[in-house]
Amino acid sequence: MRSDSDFRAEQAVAEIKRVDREVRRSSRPAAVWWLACGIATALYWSVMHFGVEPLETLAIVGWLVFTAVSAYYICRLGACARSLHRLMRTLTVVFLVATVLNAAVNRYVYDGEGVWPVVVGVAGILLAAVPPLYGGWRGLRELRDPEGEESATS
Amino acid sequence: MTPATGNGHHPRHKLDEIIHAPVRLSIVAALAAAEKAEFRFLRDTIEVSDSLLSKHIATLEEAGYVRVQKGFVGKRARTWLSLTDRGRKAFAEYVSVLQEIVKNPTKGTVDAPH
Repeated sequence: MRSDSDFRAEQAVAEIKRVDREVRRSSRPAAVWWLACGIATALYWSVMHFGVEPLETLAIVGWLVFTAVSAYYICRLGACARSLHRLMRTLTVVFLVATVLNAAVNRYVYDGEGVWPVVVGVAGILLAAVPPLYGGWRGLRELRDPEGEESATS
Repeated sequence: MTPATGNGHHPRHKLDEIIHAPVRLSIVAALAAAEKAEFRFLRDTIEVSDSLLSKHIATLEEAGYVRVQKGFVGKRARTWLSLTDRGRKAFAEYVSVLQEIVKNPTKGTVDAPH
């Protein structure tokens, strides 16, 4: 960063765009995390709904590891872009609701026999996994380099 | 009312002098793009020393443009910064004045405070 006293408007605009790009770049890992979360969620609930021991224990251990790694990963983020932050708030609420529903399905639905527990289980997995996958994809799209796109100064 | 750089008719006189300093502009621009940003991220992005960044953050905080939140991640102290509503409004005005100046390139040079 310069400290010139002769500071042109074009230079100011260029600096705003540069810093905006840096913030987007720094926020991308959060979008990637949502993609990973979508895949991990699909795997976890697939095993919990339809798997047998020792896969269930393995899934629980895997989920704990994923949570610990996520906490470390997210704490290392330097900045969070505004657009992604708004998206993350919605995703978090949907994700928590889907988790509670899947836990309820896992606890109560599998006492029954037949096709419908499978249908409910698959619906639960989709409900839990699709929002984070969509959020990650949309986040990465919104955080693309704004060169030629709308940015803070246009 | 935001502090401007002068009283003439040229758009540059409407530039907010608190924002219109190279380091402070970079800080405010980063915080405008982010919901919040960590002190070290700003330092590395803007390429300034801790002390210079702290000094400019103090100026922005005093003006009511920046909010500073301190916390701990494990045993490490972390400082998070975000723009206040006032800071966001001031930056939006600053950008619109810049655009006005850029549209008239013959009048584009403006002096920045240190």
